[in-house]
Amino acid sequence: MNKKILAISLAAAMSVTAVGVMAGCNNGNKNDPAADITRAVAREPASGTRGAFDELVEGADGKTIDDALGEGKSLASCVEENSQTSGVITTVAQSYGKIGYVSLGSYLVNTDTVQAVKVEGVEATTANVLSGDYKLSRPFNIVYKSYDALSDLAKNLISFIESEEGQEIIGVDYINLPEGTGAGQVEVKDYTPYTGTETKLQITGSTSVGPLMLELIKAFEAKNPDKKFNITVTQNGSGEGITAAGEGKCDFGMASRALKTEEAATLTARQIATDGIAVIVKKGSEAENVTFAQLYDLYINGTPIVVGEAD
Amino acid sequence: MEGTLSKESKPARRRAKMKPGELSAKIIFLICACLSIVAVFGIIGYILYGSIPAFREVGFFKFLFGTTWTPNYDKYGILPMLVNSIIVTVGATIIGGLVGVFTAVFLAFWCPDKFHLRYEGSSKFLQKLVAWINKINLRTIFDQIIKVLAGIPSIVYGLFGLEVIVSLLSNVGGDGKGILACSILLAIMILPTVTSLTKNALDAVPEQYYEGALAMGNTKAQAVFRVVLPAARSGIISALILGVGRAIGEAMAIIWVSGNRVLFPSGLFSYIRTMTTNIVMEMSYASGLHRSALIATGLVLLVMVLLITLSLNIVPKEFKGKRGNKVLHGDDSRAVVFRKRGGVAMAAAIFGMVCAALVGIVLAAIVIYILARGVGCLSAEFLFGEQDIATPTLWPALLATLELIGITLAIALPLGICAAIYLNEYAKKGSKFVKVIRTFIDALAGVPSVVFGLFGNILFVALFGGYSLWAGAFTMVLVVLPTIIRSTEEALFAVPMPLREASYGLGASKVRTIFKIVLPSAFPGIATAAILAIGRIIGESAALIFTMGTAFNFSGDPGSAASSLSVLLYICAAEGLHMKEAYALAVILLVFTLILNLIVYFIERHVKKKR
Repeated sequence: MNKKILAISLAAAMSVTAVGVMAGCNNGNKNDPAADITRAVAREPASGTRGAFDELVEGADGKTIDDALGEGKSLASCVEENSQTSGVITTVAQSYGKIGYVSLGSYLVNTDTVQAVKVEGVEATTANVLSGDYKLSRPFNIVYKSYDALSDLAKNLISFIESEEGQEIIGVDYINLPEGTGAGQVEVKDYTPYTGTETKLQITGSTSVGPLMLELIKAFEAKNPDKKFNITVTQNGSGEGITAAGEGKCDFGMASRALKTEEAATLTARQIATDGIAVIVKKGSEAENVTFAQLYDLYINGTPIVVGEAD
Repeated sequence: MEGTLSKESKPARRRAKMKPGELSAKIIFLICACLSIVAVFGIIGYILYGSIPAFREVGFFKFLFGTTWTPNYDKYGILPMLVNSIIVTVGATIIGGLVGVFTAVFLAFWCPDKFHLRYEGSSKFLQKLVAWINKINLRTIFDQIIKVLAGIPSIVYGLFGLEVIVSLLSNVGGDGKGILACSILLAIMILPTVTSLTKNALDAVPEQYYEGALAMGNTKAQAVFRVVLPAARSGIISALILGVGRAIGEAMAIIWVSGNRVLFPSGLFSYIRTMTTNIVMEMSYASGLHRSALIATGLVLLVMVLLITLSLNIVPKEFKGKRGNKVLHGDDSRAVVFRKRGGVAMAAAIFGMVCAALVGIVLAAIVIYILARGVGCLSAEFLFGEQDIATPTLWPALLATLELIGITLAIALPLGICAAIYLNEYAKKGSKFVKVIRTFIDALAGVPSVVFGLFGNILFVALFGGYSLWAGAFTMVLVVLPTIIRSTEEALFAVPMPLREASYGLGASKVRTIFKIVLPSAFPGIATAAILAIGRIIGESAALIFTMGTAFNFSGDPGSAASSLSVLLYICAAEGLHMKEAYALAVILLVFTLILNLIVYFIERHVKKKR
């Protein structure tokens, strides 16, 4: 009896294997630097990086990936989703036949395994994002219910972020907002050190904004050497940052995307910086440039990007 | 037991003052036992409440049988993920179950105690080496291998899966990710459970079965596979069911190797997403209806785990061995048949050896992988650097982990031990109430840690006003409580009855007997339970990310957010900004696991010597 069950399950497993090896996408050659790019890596649908990528990448007919998904299409079956930036980088670095996208800041510390390709002929550098030539970018926001309800410490930290020193730190790996008083602009003021008594501050949210926020807080603490702060930054995603800010579980949240309409009803987002999104391939690949149309076709239709004719 | 008590407590009756104390002690033990039920109901109740909006807006059947999951457009159908979860679990159980059961058979019947190497040369060093190798107890080593496999944190398995299993499989088909990779990784993760429980079941089969079979003229292989294995059937089935429960709840490892697409599987290498990974991936971004849909996914998962736990109760626990008896009393013709089929049994025996070797190789691969990646990353800066808000260092995470262990055990140990005392010393054997409590405790043990994370996020984070070590510790209490209760119960059960009776005979009250006689003799078992709990706390990440936070710095105040070693490993690996620190942490966690296993080993040896 046991043996029969065993035999049947083994047979089933083997037949599934046979089917599995036959089905699936065109694999390309993972060891050939000139191989066509047949597979793509995306982030999960709710990620801030993915949101910006889907909104910006247009197909030949002028529709974005976002539009296509809205019409009920889904990503091609050759596209995998990954919830970690490091997962995207490691996966792309395993094969020349793959392409993916990550935050520019994350790309810059992993240049030993992956390289960024030009998008629409423009190189992914902070200067090009600032000038607006490089199209793939997204906002870094902090989120709170109302500015007036924030603690003095939180207000002081924000004023530091918007001071000249704060802007300098942002400018190292990310892109400063232009000066001005309108939306998406920053009014740079002088910073006055903290004089209040409260020292505890909790910040929660995006794993992309997190590293920048940590650098800012480090400099902020150095600016107030006589205070002993207990500031903690928890990085567990934009959505959690927005939710926690709404429920009062933290002083303010961090989000690497704009607020949705229903979130904007109760919360305010304050942009502190802009981040570029780098499109990456395995180090040494001969792919140099991709167009939006190629990316759209790969992500939606599964059409391979032919390397060599890409320019 | 009630009867023996009333007979023997005559001297106690004279000291009537003791009675209220006795009663209140019993009540305290009962309350502790009931707390575990409250915990399960609390979790289920919260998840039910949380999933109401999703079921109301989406509709129950549309949710369960819908085929598209696009949160941005408010489409929530989990059927593909449900199917994927089941397929991957079945795959893992077939691979892991097969290897696990045969490894256990090898360990129980073929594994030699010691190497019997011979060396007759003149080199003294080699002579010593050979003598030393011959001293090693092989069974102990295999036991340790299996325990180390059980103690490695999920995320380390995930990294291993992505960088080793996937890149090996990519030579076979696809790019390596998908159903096969998930099944293999999960199979490795359920191996310890299946192997150790199967071995226990085989050890429980009376020796006469084996000896009788041999006396009937069977070969060793025939005796093992035709008599002992069928006799241990129910134990093996329980082991497999527990393996299934572990596989279905796993999230943090397969998220790295599954490709994470919400698609129906079209082959062994098509990208898939399971229900657990869906929760882990999207929880951090979700709000409103989306969040509710994720909680509802958790509910479906919970119901599946509960069903699995309940099905465990259907498997007959007692050793019945009907099949074995039949063979023993069977006529001669059957024995002749066995002899003819000897080849099959022998092949199975060899397969067992191959499986055992495979388990050894897999562990070696994981350990080598961790060391090769991590040792170079153990920089002085990371190990001894001062804590800094922007860069991960070891000290704050270590401090937070120790504090987390301390607080969790301070709450969970008394609670768990009291519950176990009630179940073993007070409750009537075989009463329905006790059965219900045990079922709920087992159910709590099977709840995926993601679900604990969801629960802790809503209840404890709100209670303590934000992410804090307190919230993390309270969540972990729920996670480790079942382990502590069940292990303590076993330890108490092993205390011989005459010890208690002698104590009663000397006029000691029941409470006094428990605290002065029973607990001290059960101490090694309880210590083992505590160490198992520590291992679980050190390895946990999914339940802590949404309760304790992920801060790099920690001042020591349990009211603030912090990250334990495993959480730090997760957060270092997640953005790809601190991979070096992540690998270094993997080495440190491996060392922790080894140390804990050694402590358990020495406790067990101490107990054996005592007896």
